[in-house]
Amino acid sequence: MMREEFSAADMPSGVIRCSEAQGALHAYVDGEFGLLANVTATQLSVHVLACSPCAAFLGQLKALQQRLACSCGCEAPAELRTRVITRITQMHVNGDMFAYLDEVRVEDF
Amino acid sequence: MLCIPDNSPVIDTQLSWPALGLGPMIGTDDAESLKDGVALPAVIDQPSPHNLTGTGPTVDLDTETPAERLARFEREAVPLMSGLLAHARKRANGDEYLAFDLVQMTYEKAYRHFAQYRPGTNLRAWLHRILDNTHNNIYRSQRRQPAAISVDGLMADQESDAALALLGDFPSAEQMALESLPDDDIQTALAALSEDFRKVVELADGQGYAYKEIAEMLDIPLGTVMSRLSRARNKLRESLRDAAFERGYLDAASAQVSQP
Ligand SMILES: [Zn+2]
Repeated sequence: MMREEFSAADMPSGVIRCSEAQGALHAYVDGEFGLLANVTATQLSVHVLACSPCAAFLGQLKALQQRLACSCGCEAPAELRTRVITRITQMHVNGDMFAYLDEVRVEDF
Repeated sequence: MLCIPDNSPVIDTQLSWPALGLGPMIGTDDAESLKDGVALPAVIDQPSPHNLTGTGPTVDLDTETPAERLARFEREAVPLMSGLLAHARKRANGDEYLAFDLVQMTYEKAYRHFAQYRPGTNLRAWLHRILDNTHNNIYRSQRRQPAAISVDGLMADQESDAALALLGDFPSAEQMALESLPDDDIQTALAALSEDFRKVVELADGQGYAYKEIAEMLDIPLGTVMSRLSRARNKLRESLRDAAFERGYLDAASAQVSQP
């Protein structure tokens, strides 16, 4: 795969480097972006949307996280499991498979 | 402990990231569907080379009865709950009630839209995506309340978030390999980490604890949590890339992508 990184030479102010973007992406996938003082959300998204290695990096981080989320012995509590299954079964019985489409219109007003 | 049995798919490395091909994705159906909290990954329109969790028999969506759909949902989507909860905890910043609600709302939306999920594609990624969008919607509705503070910052965050959430629709070969490797390979890669690194990864990625909580649990500075976590993930990517190459999921060119 070709590297298409932004080098420091052609960077206007406010534009961040790949190393900064990728550091920030770790925090982003953790929902901890607010901890970072040196990179703004706009700077990050502008960079990542235009930089294919960083976009690929983000996809890999998400994928890695999804795999690890299920591999370290965490188990959803039975209480939650029961709650979810009960609710879904209820939806099935009520036949409200498409009710959500109506909710959206109200919400999006 | 493993939750999901994976089969051993073969990755089509042709399906790689189209360079800079991001523009048209924004403002298309994807951006629209983000609004109702259910974004269907564009990748589902492509033939999927990996059957991640849809291990059941072939489904005929046209003739499937509601009862069969419920059964398929319980068989395939419900077992992914532990991973979703870890993800929800991250989004909920340690608010366990909110994390539970996020998981429940995700399953409700996923069930309502389950007919749109194409069997055999990445169900785990689809669910995680719905969870992110659900969380974004909650954020957005909070923004409308008069008491919201720092509205501009939040708006910028949310727009950036929506843009970043769209990425991953055209997964790189390495991403697809990560999604498809057997759980054994993930375990082996974890086991190869040093104790310090593994602990941080298990708490952050495995269980979804916030950086601050991990820092307190392990009695280390926040900055150390962050640096250990990013170094540990880079090591994991490195060993999983090797594993993917050995299994023939990645060709030599894709396996040599350099580290950041
Ligand atoms: Zn970059």
